[in-house]
Amino acid sequence: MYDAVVPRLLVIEDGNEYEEFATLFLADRFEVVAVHSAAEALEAAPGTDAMLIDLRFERARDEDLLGDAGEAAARLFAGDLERARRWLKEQQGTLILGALREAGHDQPAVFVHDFPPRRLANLARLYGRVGAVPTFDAAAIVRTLESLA
Amino acid sequence: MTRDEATRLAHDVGKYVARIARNAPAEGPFPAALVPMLVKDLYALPGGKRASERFVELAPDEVAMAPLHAALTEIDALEERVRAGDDEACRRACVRALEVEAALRAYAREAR
Repeated sequence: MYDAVVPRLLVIEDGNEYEEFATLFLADRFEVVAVHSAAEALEAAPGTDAMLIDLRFERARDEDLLGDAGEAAARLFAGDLERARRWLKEQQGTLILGALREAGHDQPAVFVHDFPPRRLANLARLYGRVGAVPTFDAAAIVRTLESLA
Repeated sequence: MTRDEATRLAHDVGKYVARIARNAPAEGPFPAALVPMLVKDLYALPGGKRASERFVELAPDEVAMAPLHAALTEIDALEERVRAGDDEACRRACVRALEVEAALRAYAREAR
């Protein structure tokens, strides 16, 4: 499945719920590496083999968010900065994945989120090997990562 | 239910309430190692609130929500036994948590 002897799973989230879950249910398949921001993800990505990404970073500090709220407000929300900040948090996982892809990190990535099929297809078109599972289902996450490898 | 309400409920309650319930082994004694995270799923969601508390905060006042409220109320009633790792209580709480998760996910899909 992966080149590494013990594949490394990069867990990207704003809290610790994904890390807890991965440590309990995925540690027999992966060495778990957890990070909590785009900057940390970009630093940790080299040497990892797959990614498990949270979509919404509602607990993240504004200064840790990837993206320009002012630019998003002007482009998407008629200047409404508060809505733009909320949008940045709600979409932070995809923004971080975009930054990782731009930096050349093309590992298979899985979100735990119930994306509408068209949205998931769009993410795959933009970011390559991307999948999603709707719930914290360890077997489904492994299957999805394997299908993307 | 509005799309925002349904999405928020599915994320804040549905997604996290069944982390352990969905992955616990189906047979045999309920593993003691899973009890601390089951307790978090049910009684201390991200943000620290009980699943039932967060549900009450977010759920619209609709008849359709009553069975979910009942499921979460039952989960609350099991708390002492769940915290003690009682096998029957943990299993029953998992069944109810999966029902809540599935229903909230279905509502979120309908509301899209």
